[in-house]
Amino acid sequence: MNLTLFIWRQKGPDKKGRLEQYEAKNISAEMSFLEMLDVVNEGLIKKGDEPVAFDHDCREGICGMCSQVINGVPHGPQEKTTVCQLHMRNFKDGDSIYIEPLRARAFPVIKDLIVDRSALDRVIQSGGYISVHTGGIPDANAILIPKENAETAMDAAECIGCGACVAACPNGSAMLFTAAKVTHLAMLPQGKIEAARRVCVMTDSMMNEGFGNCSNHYECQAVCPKGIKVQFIAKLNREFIKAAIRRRGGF
Amino acid sequence: MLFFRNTVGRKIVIAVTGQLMVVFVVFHLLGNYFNPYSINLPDSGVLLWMMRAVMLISFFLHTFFSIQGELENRRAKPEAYAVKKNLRATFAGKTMLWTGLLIAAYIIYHVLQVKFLILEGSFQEGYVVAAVYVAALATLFLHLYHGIAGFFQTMGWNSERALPVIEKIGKGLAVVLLAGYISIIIFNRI
Repeated sequence: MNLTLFIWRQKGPDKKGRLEQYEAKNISAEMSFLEMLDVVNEGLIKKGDEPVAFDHDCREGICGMCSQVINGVPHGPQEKTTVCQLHMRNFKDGDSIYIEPLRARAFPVIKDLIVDRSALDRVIQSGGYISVHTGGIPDANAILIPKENAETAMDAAECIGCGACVAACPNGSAMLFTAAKVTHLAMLPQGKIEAARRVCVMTDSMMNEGFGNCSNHYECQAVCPKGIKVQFIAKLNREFIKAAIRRRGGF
Repeated sequence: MLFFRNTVGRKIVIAVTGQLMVVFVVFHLLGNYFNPYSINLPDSGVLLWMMRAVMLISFFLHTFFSIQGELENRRAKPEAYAVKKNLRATFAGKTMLWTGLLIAAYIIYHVLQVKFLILEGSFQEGYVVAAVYVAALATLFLHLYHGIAGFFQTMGWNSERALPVIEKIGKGLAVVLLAGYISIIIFNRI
């Protein structure tokens, strides 16, 4: 199939960017979206033009690097799928595709489609950890955890930190990401010790990094490639209320 | 204060004060239906002034934190997409600031007109006033369409099974309030 692409090109962090038009010719429906971009880039390199810079790593949908906004939706039209696992069979011959970087103040563009998402790492660093020594694998298994809690913790831990929730949110909020981390740790006994402090510190850190507030639009859940639910944000809110009532952790 | 400083805390303050005002809107409708001339309602007294104080404080906290949050949100999203497709966000949700400001303007107008009798005209007499009331009700409907369901999520009273029910209750109550108030205008004009 042949496609018309409108790709965001931006030379550097402080440079002005704009959409540029490219033709992608003879694209197979079996290709992944990133392979299609590889083909376009090969053409650009052959012509002596600068190839389009985009992030990618594992290409099997688990690393969270390949974040792009395709036709106005982070990770494109297929539900619960990262860009690298999105295949060209989701598009038709003659389609126009708009490809833009994730947009938020906390995600400055480095080049073209690559943004700096280290703000999410700093949110994790602020409180997304536990301080107790858990010992080896057998020691961890010595603490019995209800199956339901373990499942919920695992569901929350599925978050790959790709930043699609931030990109889709009209407020540029990272609340779904933060909620996934808070829930994942608060569900387990080892994480409960610092739960009250964690929810306060992580949400404050989120705001300090320049993300917005959550106002219940639920766009985040709709685009999450891992199907993280907004119920985790409700859980975060419950954790916050508990923390505020107990006033633990120096607040 | 944790509730005034933290983003989640402020959201909870907005949600709780919003719901207090929804409770008022419900009782205001019931009062209009069953006791339109406020017979036997006290014009002063501790309870009334307590209620007024709660409403006034709710109004200011709700407005202040909402505007503050909205300004932060705009700063957090400085550049718009060339193409953006919203999958879940509603018109009602995205216009909360504007519908809120319009409702605030209407409340001031309504209080000046009905309570302090400074502004003339009533919806029973003038078509223009009736039209203003209907427009205000439509605006309130949009605001509550997003606001009531959001309250449950913000308070953490939400689960995967509860979400569709909560959304139906929230939107349903918004529809009932709209229909209730508009019916008063219609009955009084016929």
